[in-house]
Amino acid sequence: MSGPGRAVGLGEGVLIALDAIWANKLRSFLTVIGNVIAVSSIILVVTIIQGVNAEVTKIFTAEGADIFNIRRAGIVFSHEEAMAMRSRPRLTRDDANFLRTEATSFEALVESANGSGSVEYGNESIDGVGIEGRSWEWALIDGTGLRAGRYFSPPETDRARPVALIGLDTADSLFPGLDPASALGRRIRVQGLHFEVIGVLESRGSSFGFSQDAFVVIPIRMFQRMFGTRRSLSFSVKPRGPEVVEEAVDEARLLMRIRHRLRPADDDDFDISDSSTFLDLYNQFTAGIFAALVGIVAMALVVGGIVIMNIMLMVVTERTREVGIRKAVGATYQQILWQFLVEAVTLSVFGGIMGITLGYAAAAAIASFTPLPFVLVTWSIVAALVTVIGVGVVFGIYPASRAAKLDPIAALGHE
Amino acid sequence: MNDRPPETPADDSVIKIRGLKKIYDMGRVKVEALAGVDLDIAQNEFIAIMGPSGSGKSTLMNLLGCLDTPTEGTYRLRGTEVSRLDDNELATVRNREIGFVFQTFNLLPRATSLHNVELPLIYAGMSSRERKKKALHALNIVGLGDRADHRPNELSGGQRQRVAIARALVNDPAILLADEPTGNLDSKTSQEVMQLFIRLHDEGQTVILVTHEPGIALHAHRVVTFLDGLIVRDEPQTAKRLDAEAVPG
Repeated sequence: MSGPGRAVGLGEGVLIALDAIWANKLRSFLTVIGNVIAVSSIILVVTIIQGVNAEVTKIFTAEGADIFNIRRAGIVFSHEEAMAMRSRPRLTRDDANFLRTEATSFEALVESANGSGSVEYGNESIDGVGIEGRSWEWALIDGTGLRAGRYFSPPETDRARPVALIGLDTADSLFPGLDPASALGRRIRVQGLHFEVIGVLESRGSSFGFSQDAFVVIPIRMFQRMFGTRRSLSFSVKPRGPEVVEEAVDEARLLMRIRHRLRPADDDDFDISDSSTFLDLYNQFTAGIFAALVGIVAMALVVGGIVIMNIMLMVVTERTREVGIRKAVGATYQQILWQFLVEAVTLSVFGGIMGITLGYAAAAAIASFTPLPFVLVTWSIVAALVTVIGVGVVFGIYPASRAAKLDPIAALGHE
Repeated sequence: MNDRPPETPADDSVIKIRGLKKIYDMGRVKVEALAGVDLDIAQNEFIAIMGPSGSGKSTLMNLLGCLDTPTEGTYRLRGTEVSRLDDNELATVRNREIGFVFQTFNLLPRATSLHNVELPLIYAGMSSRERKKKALHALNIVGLGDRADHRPNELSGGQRQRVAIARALVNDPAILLADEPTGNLDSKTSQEVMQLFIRLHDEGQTVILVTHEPGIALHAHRVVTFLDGLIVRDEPQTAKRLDAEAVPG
């Protein structure tokens, strides 16, 4: 004498649950508030991180993805590391020339150093402009392109000629209302020294909403005269082709170790990084955010689940007589269990759907007020729904089994 | 096959009870609610079970309705021994063989008449379309086909009880088990509900009525009276019932 299939109650259970949710709107909402918070924070954070990911990936894959950099120090995570980096030898012009001479897989090596300072023209003056020192090879790897004019030549680099290329924002600030091309040939002052504008660069675009076009590029030897030679250079290397990137990195490492007279057991006292290094670093960072998110969400869900369990226990008490009636007309243990389990899951999913809606609404609002793109992440919806179904089952099973175990006679006598 | 006392050769019993005992263990005290009851109820009988409260009639009703199992004794319902079944098996028996009618109607308050009547069929695993057809048919039998989408609070007491009777009938049960079915109704409505029971009986339904009101018991063919967990009287009542039927209304 086996009872009828338990799936009989599914549609019925969902309808009962929706009816009960509707009958107790405020209570239902308060019950699932934990789920709403948990799910909306998953959706919100995932959406934002996906948006940032899209932006970051765009930056790192835009152009020159095969270019790698040699620096004195890599990215440091602690004060100790920073102190250790300070004892490393600076990268110098001689290092650059050594690499240029010895390396066979390099197409170009650019020396660069960055600072910031004031730029003036006539009565116009701007502060905090990026001042970028570059060797002439920069012309070969610059992916931005010229709006007008030209790059500087090898002799201009070597002889530290006072020539400059400027960004669009700089042009706009110094020559307001004029065509950027009209800046060519004018004499501007950088840190008080006169420079002739020989080129205007195309826009470098914006990153996270910030324009990147307020800068001046000058020959590296000039930069060193202005800022001193004590600051370390960094090198950007363009390999001969995409297929020799690894070879070029290895060669750069080997030559730098020779140059610095390192023994086989010594660690590198310089840092080589390509764009994947930054992507790895970024991914580690977002993984950290996700880990923290999982913790917060798990806590919200446990609290939410306990509330659901309590409300379901109350519901079972309220509806004891109903359970008695259902048992009297032939509902089995499994059918009652199933009914209340479906109800708990429906309640939990109801909260989940509200959370998804709220999370996306918040993400869309953020996207409309900030430059972050809005990315609809399907897997986060699926993950959220699976999670709230799980919460409903885990925290609904105990109240449901209480209902299913009720003695029909006692339940029918219950007021 | 068994060692029970011989019965009439052509055994048309729907219910056959032998030595039925129910003892409630209240910690130190044991209460014997049924002290060994033998009872046969034949197909299409209309029987009233009477007795004061505490006489054991409610306990018997719970056992007859397969809501509970006896401490001792046997209970064959339409040839199946049901006294040793587990809870789920009892649920299935209730679903297929028993139609309950309660004093307080016991309808689901938020469900329509149709849905209330459908309930046993849902647990029987019947398809939605078949369910609706059978439930509407049962509502038509009790004269409430036009109230299918009304909720209990939109119905009078008598109508509610008729919906409950439709629910009890919908699975074509072996017995219709009514516990004080008119206890919450005024006298006129009570008469209407009793006329419905009489009609159902005339159409072949076996009806068991548990009541403490002699006036209600008058409608039955046979009256079984309980006292202190035992049957103290069991007699037919044909003549009186005709009188009762003569009552107008």
